[in-house]
Amino acid sequence: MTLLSLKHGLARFGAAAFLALGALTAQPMTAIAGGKFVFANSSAYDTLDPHAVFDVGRVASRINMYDGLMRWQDNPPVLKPWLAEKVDVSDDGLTYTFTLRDAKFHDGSPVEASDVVYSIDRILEMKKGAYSLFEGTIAIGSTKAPDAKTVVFTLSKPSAVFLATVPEIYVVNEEVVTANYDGDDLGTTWLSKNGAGSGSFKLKRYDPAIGWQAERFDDHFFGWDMVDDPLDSIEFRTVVEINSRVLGLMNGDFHGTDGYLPQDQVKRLRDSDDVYVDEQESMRIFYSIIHNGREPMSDQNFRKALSYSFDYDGFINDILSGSVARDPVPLPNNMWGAPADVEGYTYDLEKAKEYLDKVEGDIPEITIGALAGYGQTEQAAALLQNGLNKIGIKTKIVAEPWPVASGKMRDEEQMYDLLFLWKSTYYADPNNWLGEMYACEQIGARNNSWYCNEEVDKLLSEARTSTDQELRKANYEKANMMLMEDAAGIYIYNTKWFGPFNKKVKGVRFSPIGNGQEMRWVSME
Amino acid sequence: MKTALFLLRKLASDRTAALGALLILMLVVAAIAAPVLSTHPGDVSEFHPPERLQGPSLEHFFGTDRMGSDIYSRILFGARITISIAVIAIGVSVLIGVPIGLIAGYYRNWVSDALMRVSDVFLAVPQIVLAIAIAQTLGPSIENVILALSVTYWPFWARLVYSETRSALNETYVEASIALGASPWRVMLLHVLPNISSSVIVRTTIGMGGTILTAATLGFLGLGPPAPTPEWGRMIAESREFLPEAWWYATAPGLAIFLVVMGFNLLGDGLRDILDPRTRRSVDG
Repeated sequence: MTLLSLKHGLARFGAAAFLALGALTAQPMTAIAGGKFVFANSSAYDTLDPHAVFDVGRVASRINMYDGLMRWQDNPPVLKPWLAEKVDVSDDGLTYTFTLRDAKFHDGSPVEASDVVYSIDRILEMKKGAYSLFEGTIAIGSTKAPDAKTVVFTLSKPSAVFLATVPEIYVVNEEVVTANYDGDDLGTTWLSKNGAGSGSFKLKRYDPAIGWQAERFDDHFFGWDMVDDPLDSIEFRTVVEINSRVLGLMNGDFHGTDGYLPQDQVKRLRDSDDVYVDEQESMRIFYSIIHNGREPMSDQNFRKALSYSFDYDGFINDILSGSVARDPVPLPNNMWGAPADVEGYTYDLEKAKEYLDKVEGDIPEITIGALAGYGQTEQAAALLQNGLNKIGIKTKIVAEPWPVASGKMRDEEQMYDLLFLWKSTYYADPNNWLGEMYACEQIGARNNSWYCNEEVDKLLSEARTSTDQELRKANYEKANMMLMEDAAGIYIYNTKWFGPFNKKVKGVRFSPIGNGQEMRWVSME
Repeated sequence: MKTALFLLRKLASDRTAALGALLILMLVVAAIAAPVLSTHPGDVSEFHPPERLQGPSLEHFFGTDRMGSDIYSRILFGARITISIAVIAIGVSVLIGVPIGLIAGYYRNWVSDALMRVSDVFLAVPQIVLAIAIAQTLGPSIENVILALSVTYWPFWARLVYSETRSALNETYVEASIALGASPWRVMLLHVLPNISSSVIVRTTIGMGGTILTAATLGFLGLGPPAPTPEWGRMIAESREFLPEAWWYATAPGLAIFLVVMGFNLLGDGLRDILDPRTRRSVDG
């Protein structure tokens, strides 16, 4: 029997409101009109539908304009009741009963249990965004609303991570969305550019080319008493060019931007008088997917040769100026389930050659994928190419934009031999990384390595369904070691977050989920 | 031979055109002798992360880039890519555009109309937009850049040759050879083409500059050859993250593109003055 009370959530709140800023030289450069926060967003918001996307680049529209039953907050992330007042879990771990609080949608109508039921069914029917989290665990129509304040989820099989993924069930206003159906499109066309939520901010203006603006929703269920001087409005503006974001931040046009800028730019911002950089441990690993389902990558010896050919020190210490921590396993090293004191692969071409000699047959040209516009992935690809070149493996680098690469990742034939990218936190549970990246049942969906090892899979599925924390921890530690030993991927680092903000900005609450973009806690001097 | 000598003498007396020719000569020398002239020939594919983003020095004339490679050496090797893209793309455009222009100009029937309307369609879309669309669809590589440029550039030659052919057909010498019973191919290749070749040469020279600029634009947008190819446009794109601190990173390839494009434009202007007196610059007139 698990019981999470709202009081528990509230008690934790106070701690994060304080933020050390160092000496404040408060001399306003540009006047801020009525507490409006402008965030320079690195990628475009092509849709505002909270059920259509599930990525970190477009998290702010979901987290600010919509509410879920639960919410991840702070760092390390803590799961707190949000729209729900409490949740009861049955002893067999299959039935979750949520009791809703009194909350209102932006149009003034109450948030009811039927809206939650509609929202989860809509996610399952759309088969987009966070759908893969619930696929196989929840069936369409299995969620019930016995009364206006009670929602009952019935899982088709036990899942230790269900609660952790509940925050992704963003509740939309059933009445408003169904009134705007265009044929049988489930309202996707309309909801992609309109709002139907209950979140802290209410959509005011949206243009896919520019971004979106939202105003404070005074009737939000959580109230605004905890923040002295909450923001009147927020704007998330698309600014693709890094230099424009940095310059805009330095001259006061923007008040915040993403916390994963190149270190050279972070240094520039630190030297600026009007900007501070909030540095936090995060959970976002950088690694290279290896296509385990294709020769010669299906040979463990070849994968080990690859792992010994990457210059980890040169990449982390020189190119990234030591701003990240080496992480030899596919799980962030500050997440439970990560084994302690692991000795990972090093840049050792002698060993790489040894393993390469054990590979039988001719080695074809290897294609290394990188994400166009993400300099780090290109630099890592070039560095690996350099290493492989020295042991006589021919390579070709292909840099393609994220939408193209993510499409290819789901196709066994089109997938690159290797692909450098990040794996961010969508929910704080080791399953977010290991379970999705290497479970056999996720092949082609979130397992883009075409890696299926019976032993590892058994550990992962046991951990996914068990509620025994000790067993889960032991399983994940073991799975990590096996994946590393098997060189299933090239694991490089775990990120720190360097969130740059204007010095007038106070109260930012960073969480690896949402990357500090939940604006309801923020105020400006 | 005589005409070549005449051309050279004329060029030498035109100071700006000579400067253009000199710049292009430098480009050719840089491309051919890149392994000899470069100080770090291995740096096209070799990296030294500890030495990244160093300013210009005697060791690295134009500084080092984000991977710690010598920018000067990479620019020399980049000249090879630039030249090959420009020469092949323009060559293909001329090979497609000139025959089409000749045929369309010579005949006055539906074939001629069809050919010209097709080239109008290509000209109606801004050339860079079309090239981006093609390169994006086919994926980033040198071959696709060349293809994208060739496909979008030929209509310029087709148009030019078409109008020149039409006016040449009114000349007495063409009428005379047709009256003497010369076949259409004979008239086109032996009488019309030699007499319009000067405009084609001028257009081709100036076109080279434009092509290099477009190729660099594609490279800048990430549609050119992938990293770590030392393509100039791509080098500028890479450098953006490090501006304004690492100013040399963008400046060096930027200057290289500027000088080469200016070289082709100056030479093209000079050639036009010599070969095509009708459109001679007014200062000389």
